[in-house]
Amino acid sequence: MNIMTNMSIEIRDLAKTFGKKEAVRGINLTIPKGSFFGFLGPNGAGKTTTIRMITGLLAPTNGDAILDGHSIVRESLAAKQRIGVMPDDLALFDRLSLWEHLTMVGSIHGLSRDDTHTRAEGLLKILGLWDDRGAFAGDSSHGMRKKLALALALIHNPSILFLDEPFEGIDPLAGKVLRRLLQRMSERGTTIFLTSHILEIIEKLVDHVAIIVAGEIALDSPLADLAAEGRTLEEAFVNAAGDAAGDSEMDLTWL
Amino acid sequence: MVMKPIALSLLPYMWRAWWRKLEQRGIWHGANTATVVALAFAGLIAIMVSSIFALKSLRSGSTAQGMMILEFCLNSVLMGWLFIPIMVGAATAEGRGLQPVRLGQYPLKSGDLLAIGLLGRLIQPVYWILIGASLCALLPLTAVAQPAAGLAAAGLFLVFSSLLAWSFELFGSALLSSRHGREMMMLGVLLLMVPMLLLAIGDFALTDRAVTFTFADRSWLLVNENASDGLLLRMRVLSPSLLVTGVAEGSAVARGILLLTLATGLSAVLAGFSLRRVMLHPPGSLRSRKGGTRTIGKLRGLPVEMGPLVIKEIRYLTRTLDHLMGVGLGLAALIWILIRPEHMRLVLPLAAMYTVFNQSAIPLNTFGLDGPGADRYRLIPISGRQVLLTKNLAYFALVAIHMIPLVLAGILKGGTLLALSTVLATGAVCLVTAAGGNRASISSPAPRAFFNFDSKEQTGGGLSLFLAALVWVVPAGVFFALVGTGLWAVALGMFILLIIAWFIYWSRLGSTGRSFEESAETMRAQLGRE
Repeated sequence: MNIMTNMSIEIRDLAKTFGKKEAVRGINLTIPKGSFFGFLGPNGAGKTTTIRMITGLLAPTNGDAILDGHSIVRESLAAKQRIGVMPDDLALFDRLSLWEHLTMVGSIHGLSRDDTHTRAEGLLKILGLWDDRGAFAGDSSHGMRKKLALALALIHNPSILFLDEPFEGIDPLAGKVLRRLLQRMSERGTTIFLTSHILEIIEKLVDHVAIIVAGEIALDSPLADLAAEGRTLEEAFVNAAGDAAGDSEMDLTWL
Repeated sequence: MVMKPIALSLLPYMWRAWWRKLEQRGIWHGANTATVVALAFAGLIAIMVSSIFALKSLRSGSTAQGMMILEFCLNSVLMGWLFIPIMVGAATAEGRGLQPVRLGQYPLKSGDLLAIGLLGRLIQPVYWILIGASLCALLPLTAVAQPAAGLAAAGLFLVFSSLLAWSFELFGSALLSSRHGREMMMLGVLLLMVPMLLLAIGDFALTDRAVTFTFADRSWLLVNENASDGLLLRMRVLSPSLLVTGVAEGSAVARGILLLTLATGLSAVLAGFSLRRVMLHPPGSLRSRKGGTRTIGKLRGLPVEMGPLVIKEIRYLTRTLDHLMGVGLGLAALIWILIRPEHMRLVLPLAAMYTVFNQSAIPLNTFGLDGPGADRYRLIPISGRQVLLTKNLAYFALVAIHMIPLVLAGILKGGTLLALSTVLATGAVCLVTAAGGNRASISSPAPRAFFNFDSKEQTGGGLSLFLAALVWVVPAGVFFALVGTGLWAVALGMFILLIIAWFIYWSRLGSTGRSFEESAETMRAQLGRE
């Protein structure tokens, strides 16, 4: 059943409990089509758990996520056809080459052989992986694996892109290419949902941010509104997340 | 244009991923697989011979005998499907090729994932042997009254067996992914003791086609083929292998086919459900227990850096299924010795042997069990020899934990000398196993999985080391028993062997420790690929 909506992503009362620990506590978010959305939070706040639930990699304890009108819980197949995901663990196969990864995922998405090859070549070239296309993922560097996971998320030209920490562990040149690529996709109407700890990059790229703290949404605001209030993203983050350490490091007189 | 099923499109990738992984690991890392493949191959030969015998019996008119052997073959095939993959270690690793759990983000139907998972398993040689054995078991069906119906029923039986086996593994994996599940598993292990206890307190008598249990001058008939209303007999009628032989004989063909189809359908649903469960509920991280630091402080007599490491190793090792299984079976052996002390001469050495074998993969494992943790050891200001010693002390402690109740039971029941000999022999085997294991853990480091039976491929290696150690302990014991006067001579001999083993262990510890210090980069590369 396709739920008609202008929203690209609707997260409704999404919750996840691990044993007694409530990792995500019934969060709600709506993200319009074509939005470049930054999802921030301190370590262990529930970012990855949320992204894994939205993308169908983890069953929610409660709630749902509607992606382009399709519920990830009830219509996971239809929802997954519309999304590209770069998960936190990258989900690669150690003994398949970079090229084999792309051709395999292309066939999973139902692309023709020619289309898959053209797209794979283009992606590998733009991400600087072309010369290493025969290398196994397991033997590649972290940065190369990350770029490969990104290419896999892009090969079917998804309408929504989920990226968990895409800028962590990649070199500045690749980071620049990635930023430009994401900006271009956003301009062409792809909704991008991104988590990152690098606030400077988030501030340059996204148009809307949400901050999750202890499994709850502590801030959900367009970036322009923060600017209008005269607040930087870092100030908003510290304010929402709470500066737990504060000046307590000054107590470490022995250090 | 007819679309090729997605699982078939992915078949070349599955094969490459699996085969290259095997190539990468090399023969030592494949020791476990090699051991199991060898065992499976022996099973294949046994089934092949039995099938030929069944075929001959059927052709010569001995229908009852032929059908009985056919039923045995089919049951063996079912057991093979159920247990051999678990021995390979697929239960929680879910294969080494294209694991469906890593395809969760892609738009694949449950049926596709099921097919990918199934095909991914069938490409492995151990499954070829299982398939070979399954096909051999079908041979006698060419000489039955209803060959076509019999072969159809047997085909369903084989699909049912493979799907049931996979469900079994997936269910086990799902069970182990939660704390509650692990507790249930532990309960199951303890329940294994019940039949052992029954054996210990009573007597089972197996006559022609009946089983009788006797306890305190009273007898109970457990199974009787002649009794048409026996519960066990009625349950046996529903056994899938009996359904196949029933169809093959021409009796209840429709009923047999219908029940087998239903069973196959149910096992497919169960496998699909279990796969979905495993994919959407991945195992959570294990948190450290509280109170560890208090215990660490109490471990005196060791260099200050080593105590915490030994405690950490013991804590990690007690979260493996080997340990839980060892505790369960150790307790069963203990009860057995207490109740039937006349069996002690057999039970005590066997239980000790099992305990050492059960833990023999431990010395092969890398430090701290968690692969990347090996690097942490290099940052701690202790020598390579001391690092290895921490791991070995944890191993010795774990074996001791399993052995103490058995030894106490032996002493209580008047077997002091036997208990002493067993302890000395166990010590000698442990030392030799550790000496060899230390070397292997550096040359082929592998992290160990929590709440799993052993690290990915190390059982075979552990088994070989253990057997190598045993090979010289047992003949030595026999020799001393022959030249001396019974158990005193054995105890003395074991003591001498313990000293020799200690010398071997201690002399190798230093050189292996130096190798550990020199092989940082190699180990890092090997662990990085895990």
